[in-house]
Amino acid sequence: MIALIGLVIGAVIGVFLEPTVPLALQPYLPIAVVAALDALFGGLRALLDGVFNDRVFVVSFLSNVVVAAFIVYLGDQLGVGTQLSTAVVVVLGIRIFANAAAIRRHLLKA
Amino acid sequence: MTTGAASERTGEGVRPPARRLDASMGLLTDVVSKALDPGYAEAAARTEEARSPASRAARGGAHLLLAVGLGMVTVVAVTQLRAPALSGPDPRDLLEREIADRTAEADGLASDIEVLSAEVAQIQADAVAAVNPGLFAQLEEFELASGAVAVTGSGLVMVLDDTAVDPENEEARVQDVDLQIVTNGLWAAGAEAIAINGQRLTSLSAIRSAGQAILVDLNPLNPPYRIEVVGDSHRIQTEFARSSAANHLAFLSGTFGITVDTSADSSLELPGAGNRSLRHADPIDVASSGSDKEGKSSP
Repeated sequence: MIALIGLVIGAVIGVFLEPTVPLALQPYLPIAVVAALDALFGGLRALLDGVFNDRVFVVSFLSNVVVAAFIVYLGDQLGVGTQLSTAVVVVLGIRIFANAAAIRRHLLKA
Repeated sequence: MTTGAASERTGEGVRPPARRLDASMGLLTDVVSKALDPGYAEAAARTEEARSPASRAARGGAHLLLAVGLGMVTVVAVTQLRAPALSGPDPRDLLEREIADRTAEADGLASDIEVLSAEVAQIQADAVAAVNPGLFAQLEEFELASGAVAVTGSGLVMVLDDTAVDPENEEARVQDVDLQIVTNGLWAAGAEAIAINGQRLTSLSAIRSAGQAILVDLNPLNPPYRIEVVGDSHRIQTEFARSSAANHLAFLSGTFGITVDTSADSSLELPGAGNRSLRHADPIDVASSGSDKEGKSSP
C-alpha cells in the first residue's frame, strides 16, 4: 500500500516541479511509460486479487521500465529499434488488456 | 481473455494430458495467462518471515522512496511526451522561415555579384579604355543593349495585378504568358530596357511559371507585377496601343478583371541583369581595331 501512496506523491511532485528529461533519454520515454502502465495495472489487479505486495510492485515497476528502455536502446544499437519497440508494445499491451479485463471483472462482476 | 483468467484460477500446473487446442498459440496464451506478474503469487505463497520493526520500517521507507521516484519519473515522462504535440513548431512556419532565410541568402549573393561585376567592369574599363577607346565604346554599347549594366532614364510603368473580383479563380490571375506577351509588345514598341519587379530582362531572360508563381530568370515574383520600361514613353505608348499585346491586355481586363495601370515616369532606375557569362567570342579584326590585347572580352 505504501508503494501506491509513494507513487501518487511522486506523481504530484513531478507535476509541480516539471523537471526536464535529458535529451539522450527521450527516445525511451514512450516505451518506459507503457511499461509503467503495465506495472500499474498489474499492481491494481493484485490489489483487487488481494495479493498486493509493496516489494513486488516496486521491483516489477522499476524493472519493467528499465528493461523496456534497455530493449529499445539495444534495438537502436542493432538497427531494429522500431521492430523491438513494436514487440515490447505488443506484449505489454496484451498484458495491460488482460489485467484491465481482470480488474473490470473484479469491479463490475461482469 | 476468459480462458486466460480461467486457466490462471485453476493454476498453471493443471494441464490436460491431451494436446491442448490452443497449443499453437502458446506464446499468446502465455502472455495473457501470466498477465499478472507471477511475483505477486509467489510473494503471497511465501510465509512471511518475522522481521524486527526497525527492518520493516527500513523496507517500507525504501519502497516509499523508490515509489516516489518512479511516480515522478513516469509523470515527467508523460508530460514530456505530451508537450511537443501541444506546442511544437508548425512545419509551415519552419518552411516559411527557411524560404525567407534562403531568399535572404540569395539576395546577399546577388548583391555580391553586383559589387564584383562593378569591380570587373571597372577593371575592364581601365584596361580597355586606355588601350583602345573605340573598342571600349563598342563594349559599353553592347553592355547597355544586353542589359548587363544598370540603366536610368525616363519611360513607362505598367502595373498588372490579379483580379480583386474573384481571388480564388486561378484563371483570373496574371499568367506567365500574359507577361511574355506584354514584354514582347513593349520590346516591339521600342522599349530600350525592361524590368519586372526589379528583375531586368535581357535577350536571354525567361518568363515562366512554376505552380502558381511566375518566375523571371528563375526568380519568383509576387503580384502586383510592375513592368518598368525605359525608352521614349510617347512612342512606346502609341506603338504598344496598336499592337496585339494591347488587345490581349484589354481582353484580360475585360474577361477576368485583371487591372492594368499605365503611367509615365521621368526617372526610372533599372538594375543590371547581374550574371554575365561569356557565351560567344569572335577574334577582333586586328587591322581595324588596332589592338588584339582584349580580343576576347567583347560580349
